[in-house]
Order: sequence, then structure tokens, then C-alpha cells
Amino acid sequence: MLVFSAKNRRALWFAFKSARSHLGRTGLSLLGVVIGVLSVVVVMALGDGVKDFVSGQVDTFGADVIQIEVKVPSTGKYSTANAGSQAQGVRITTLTLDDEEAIEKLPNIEAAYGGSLGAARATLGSTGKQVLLFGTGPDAPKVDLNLRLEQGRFFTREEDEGQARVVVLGSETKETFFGDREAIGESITLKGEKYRVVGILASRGTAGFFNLDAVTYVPIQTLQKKILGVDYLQFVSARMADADQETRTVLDLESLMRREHDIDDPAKDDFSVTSTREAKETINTVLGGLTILLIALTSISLVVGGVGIMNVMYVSVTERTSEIGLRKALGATSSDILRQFLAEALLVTLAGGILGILLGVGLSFVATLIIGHFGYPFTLPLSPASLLVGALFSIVVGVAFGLAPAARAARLSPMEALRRE
Amino acid sequence: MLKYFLITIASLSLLVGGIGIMNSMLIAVSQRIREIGLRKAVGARSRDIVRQFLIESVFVTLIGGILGMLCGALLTYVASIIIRALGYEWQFFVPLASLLLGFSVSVSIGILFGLYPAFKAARVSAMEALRYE
Repeated sequence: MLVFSAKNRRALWFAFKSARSHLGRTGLSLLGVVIGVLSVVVVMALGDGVKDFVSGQVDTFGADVIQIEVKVPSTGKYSTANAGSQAQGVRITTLTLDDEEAIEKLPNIEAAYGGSLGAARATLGSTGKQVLLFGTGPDAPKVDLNLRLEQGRFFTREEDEGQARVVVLGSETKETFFGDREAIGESITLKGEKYRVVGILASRGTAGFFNLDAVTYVPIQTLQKKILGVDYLQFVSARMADADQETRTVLDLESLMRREHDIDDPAKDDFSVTSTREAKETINTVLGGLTILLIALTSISLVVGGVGIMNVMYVSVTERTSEIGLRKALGATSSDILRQFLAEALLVTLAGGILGILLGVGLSFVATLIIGHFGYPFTLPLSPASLLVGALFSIVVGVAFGLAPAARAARLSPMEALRRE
Repeated sequence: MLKYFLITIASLSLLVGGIGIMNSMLIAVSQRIREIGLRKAVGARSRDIVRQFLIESVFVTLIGGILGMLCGALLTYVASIIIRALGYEWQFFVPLASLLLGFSVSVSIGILFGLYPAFKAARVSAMEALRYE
């Protein structure tokens, strides 16, 4: 291999001896590169981890699901104006169960349900707790395929239309109120009225944004009339029969909704249509940008480390002027000297890079173990890209900051160098 | 949350820079052993030597800090011009707190990483230092 030619081997040998003779300086220069490369590796792993985590979160709602949500007219879907006014209590009341029925009839829609969220205090004997109520239509298990029953059944269309007082409990809610006791057929009290438990959901595991196991499902019409006292929906969730026709289905949904709501200007839409895939892409773009920003910030410390190395190399060239003169007088060419000093800089940055990668890998691994120990589904995966970037950065820094001092050493004339001191 | 995370990552480069300064201060101390010995021989006490080297490292970090703050303010200004040219509402301003922070951080880095080289310099005995080389 070219890298191990006799000249390069000799240069490396000189570099190694010089690095060893100044262990303190070499160590400190090394430390700078180690910190830089270490943080690049960890930040990249962190970025990938967040991406995996968020995609996983989105996937729990189903990859072929389309969400129709209410939106403040004349605002962007993701705009702060939309989120802000809704948070301040602006209620869009135009989305109704009639819309849901119309959506269900579209060709590529396999199943759909209208939904709203609410909260109420649930009591059973002496146990009382604020629970999150999730009002859905009876078809919710056909749309959200991860909604599986452990025991009993989901509520029926008749129960929904009759505003029956029935609930399906999330596994954690069941645990809170009933422990190991049988819950099916028992009743819990919501807003002073008794609700019969008809089903218990299978645990979905921890699910980040909000814990789906702590949710209590009630028929949407029961939630609307008996608990919230409203007649509108917050969203409609629909599953496609064929996920490949997503683009067309989204367009169909939009024109259907505009027809239903008598809207002729898309800017005045009081709803937004988002497919899971689109949501995932948006999130990935945002997170990807954030990761790049973080890597850029991290690599500043690599540049700073590189400047430190350059500084030390200049000192080392000045200190060894007479050595360089002697080597030149004995027949070393300028390129030999250049090679020697470049090898010295590269030795430091490469060793620092390898150490930094090892430490970064170790740190990501330990962090994953610790996070896993606390039960969060979050890992810091090791991508080959981060190892490559770490290695590449350390080489680039070595060459970029070693070149100028090495060139100064190579330019020294042997006569002047030997005359000094 | 994100802000603190970003500050943490950015301060890594301050740490690395501090290490670099410690390194060059250590080199400076070993190069100037004779000077230290001479100063001690004509009556300088250890604390004078510590003070001398600490002032030197703080001087370097402070100049770095001032340059950094100027560049930072300039960059923020350029960014605000670009953002406004893109049609967004954006007010250029450099918070006083960030300047104070920059100032105190650069002085702290100088003291923190200058301390070890300064004490190393102070420990040099006058006799040995003058005999050196």
C-alpha cells in the first residue's frame, strides 16, 4: 500500500517519537480532538434516535391512516396562528358526524370514525381520578389497528347512536380502578352517572406524547351529548383500503369537505387533511435540519481543537529548527520534512478520532441502556455514517491545521536553521 | 430545553479552546523557565509569578472573548438583515445578558485553564531555573 511506503514509514516513526517526547502537549491536543469527535458521534446518534422514536410514535397510529382535523380558516396547517388560536379557546364547530358519514362513503376509505377528546373525573368507591376521555365512533378498532381488546368488546353502533353509557378502559385505567379484579360488567361513575365497562384494551406500551393505556374510550355521541354538551367533532380518522392511492384520496377528501362545508376558496378551509406519511415526512425534514445544525455546532469544537494543534505544531517547528536544519543538511528533502510534520499532526488527530469514536460509541451504548432501564422506547443507534463522519473529520482537521506548520518547517533553509542558536 | 442543549454543545468548543490555552501556557512556562528563575532571584515571590501567568492567560481569553462577542453581534445583525429580506418580522438585538455572559465566561476560562500552568511556573525554584540549559 502506498500509505506504507518507506518514506511514509520513516515520517511516521519520527512523528511518533516526537509525540512521545512531549506527552503532556500531545495529550492535551489529543483531548481537544477526542471531545470534538465524541460529541459529533453522540449528537448524530441522538438525532437518529429522535427520528426513530418519532417515526415509531407516528406508526402506532397506522401508516395508512388519514387524519382530518379542524383548522382556523386562513391559517397554515402547521402555523402558530392556527395552533395559537385553538389553544386560546377558538373552537371550530363545523366538523360533524355528517361529515364523517360522507367521508366513510368515499371509494378508497375502508373505515372512518369521528373523534373528540375530553376529560372528566371518574370515581369508583373511594378511588377517584381525572381521566382522559376519548370519544370515538364504533369503527375505531377498524381504523386504528393497534387498538386491540384484551377482554370484552368495543361498543357497538347501536350503543353509540343510543348514547349508551358504556366505556372501554385502557389497560392502565383498568389497573387503577379495578386492580386484578374483574372489571367487565362493573360500573364507574363519570359526571355523576354510572357507565358500564364493556371492554378492556390490550396494553400498547409506553407511547411518548400521551399514554394511550391511560385513555378511556366512550362512544362519541355519548361524549358529545352527555359529557361535553356539544355537537361537533375535533377530528375524523380514516383508513385507506389501498395506501398507494394516498395522493388521490387526500384530494378526494379535500374536495368532499369543501362541498360539505360550502367552501370555494381553499384558503378559507376550516379543516386540514394529513396523511401519516406526510406527517412523518414533515417531522423527518424538521429533525434532519435540526441534526445538521447540531453537527455544525459540534464541529466548531473540532475547529477549535484543530487551531490548538496548529499552535502546538508551530511551537514544535520553532523549537526544532536546528533539528530540521541538520536533517536537511544530511540530505532530507523539503517533502521529507513536510511529510514528517504532517504525519505528526495526523497522528494526533487520528488517535484522537479513534478514541473519540470509541468513547462516543460507548457513551451512546450506556445512554441507551440507562434510558431502556427506565422503560422508554428510545435508543441511540450507531450509524456507520457517524463513524465515517468522525473519522473523516479527524483526518480533515489534521491535514487542514497541520499543513501550514509543516510547510513552514519544510521551507526552512538548512544554513539558517543550523546557524540559529 | 432546546436552548440549553444548544448552549451545552456550543460550550464544548469553549472547553476545547480552554484546553488549547492551557497547552500553550504550559509550553510558554517551560520556554520561559530562565525568565521565571531570574525574576525569582531578584525578589519575585511565587504569588507574583502566579499573578503574571494568570494575567497573561486571562488577557488572551478576554481578547478572544471581546472578538467573539463582536463577531457574534455582527453575525446576528447579518442574519437579521437576511431574515428581514426574506419577509419575516425580526428585530435585531443583542441581549445585554449575553454580553455579560460572554465576558464572564471568557475571564473564567482564562483563570480556570491558566491556573495549573501558573502554579507550575510558581513552583519553579530559582536555582534550578537559572541552571536550566
